[in-house]
Amino acid sequence: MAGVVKHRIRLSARSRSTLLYACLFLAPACLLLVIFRLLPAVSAFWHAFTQWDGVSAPQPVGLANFAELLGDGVFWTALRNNGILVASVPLWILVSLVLALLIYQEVPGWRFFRGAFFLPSVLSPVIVGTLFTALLRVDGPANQLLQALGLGAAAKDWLGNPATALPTLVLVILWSIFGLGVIVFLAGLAAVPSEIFEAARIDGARGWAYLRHIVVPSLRHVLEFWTVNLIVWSFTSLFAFVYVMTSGGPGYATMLVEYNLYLQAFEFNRMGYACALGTALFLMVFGVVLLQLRLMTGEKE
Amino acid sequence: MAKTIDGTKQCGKSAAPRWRSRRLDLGRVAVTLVLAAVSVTTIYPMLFMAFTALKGRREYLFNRYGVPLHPTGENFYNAWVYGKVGQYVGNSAIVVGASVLVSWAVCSLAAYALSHLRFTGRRWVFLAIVGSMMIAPQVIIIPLYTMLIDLHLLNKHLGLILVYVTFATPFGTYLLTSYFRTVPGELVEAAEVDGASHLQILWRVMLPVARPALVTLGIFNFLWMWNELLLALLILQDDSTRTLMVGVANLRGQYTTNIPLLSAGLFLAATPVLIVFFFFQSQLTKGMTMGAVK
Repeated sequence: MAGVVKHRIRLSARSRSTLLYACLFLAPACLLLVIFRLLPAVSAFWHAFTQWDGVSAPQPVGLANFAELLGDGVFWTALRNNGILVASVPLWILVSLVLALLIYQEVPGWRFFRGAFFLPSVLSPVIVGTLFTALLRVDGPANQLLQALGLGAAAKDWLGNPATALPTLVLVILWSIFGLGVIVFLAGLAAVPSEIFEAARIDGARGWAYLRHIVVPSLRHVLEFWTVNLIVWSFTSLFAFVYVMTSGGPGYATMLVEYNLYLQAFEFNRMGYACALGTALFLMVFGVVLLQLRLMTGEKE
Repeated sequence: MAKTIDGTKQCGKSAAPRWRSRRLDLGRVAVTLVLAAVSVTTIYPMLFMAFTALKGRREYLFNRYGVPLHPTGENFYNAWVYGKVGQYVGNSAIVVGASVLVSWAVCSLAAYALSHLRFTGRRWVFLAIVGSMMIAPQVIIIPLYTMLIDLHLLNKHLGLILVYVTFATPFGTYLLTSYFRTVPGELVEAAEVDGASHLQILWRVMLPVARPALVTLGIFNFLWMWNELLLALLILQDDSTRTLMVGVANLRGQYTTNIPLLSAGLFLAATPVLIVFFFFQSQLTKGMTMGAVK
């Protein structure tokens, strides 16, 4: 009896010291996340309901920022541009998927091709953006190449023309990201027994039918994962491209929500309004992630 | 076929299906050509950057696309000294180096607690840490900025280091926790009985086991931190503390017409990343595809 009690005391002393260690070990991570991520998030949400220049005391204005946002043409233009980016996600996926399937054939040099495709995605958007701005200038190499090929009529200021700026930006972004998609899809393909693909080939499945009925179902999870990743990424990770290549112009042709947020906050000192934009941005991303969770859990049931 | 995480397929020649070898494969030739053509579009812009960086301004006018005929190092010198790329490289090295080291420590400690210390609410702490990934930098950048001013951390390397480590914590903790979990609990208990402290167990047992994960995490953090623009732009505004990507973005405004010098700056800025790419490609691939195949 006494032995059991003693044992129990020892156990609880031990679990107390375990708890102490757990607190100590988790402290740096938790403190950092609370101070530099959670508190600012709460603060951003609160400031979305104020008028604030970042220096003087914020004035509560209720929903005025959100009302202004809904009536702001720039916001809607930015949102439309973000929408166009999301709409181009299927193209990004198709390019990556087809190239991954081609590499999967293991033609000579496939390792080299895989590396070559992956290369752009490790480069900073700052480098990619600056490089392509130089390549696509009016008197830049891209236009000179067109002239040399006798297509001089097609030469233009790709990023300075409102009609071509956004499509050009989308293509540059595609250039910088498609290789990562190839890598992700190859990882997915490696997890599928290769007999499935071989059997389908022998049965004569080709082209679109092969893609739709054999490849897509086998890669469903990877495709879902990558789609959500790209959508979230298109809302939150393109600042540097826009900053370096177009500054949102010409006019508002390449304005994105996240770039508008930066401009409102740090060019026009409209911190309260920018916080409202941030809240809207968060809700959009949150919506996409929720939708994904819904899809995933719905499927399990 | 063996399931591998990094996407490399491990089938040898013998595993190749028979229908491939029977025909003279025009199909395979076409596939190779398509892949080669796409490779040209990814590699040529890089080569263009390298070639242009080696050309004098005059040569660039006559010879835009080709190999430099009179290579010169002057662009590199000018970018390094007058474009201050040298100074920015130093700043980036300090910030990124410190952030990678601190992130290793912070994430290892947290991952050890989350994988081998039993306490109530462990699952929730784990979910909260990983879930904080949802809060994107843009959303909180404004309060973060004013807070760093109040803490006197604006324009200080330490300010950006703390922010980088914070943003690296959720993924790093997730990655290391899943690695530490593979170490059996009995091993930890045995070490405890032998009188080892938790810190010693972490150092002697966990970290050696998790070495591949630590390498992956280090590379991954190095890449995004070295390449990052928005946070660096706002937190280190002073020219003396500015990081390389912010410096390069400014160089672009300063030398719009001097493409050779700009290319040299870009090339210098990309070099560390390219080195990492060539030496650690497989670890990189692994890190990037971690979440995809589950």
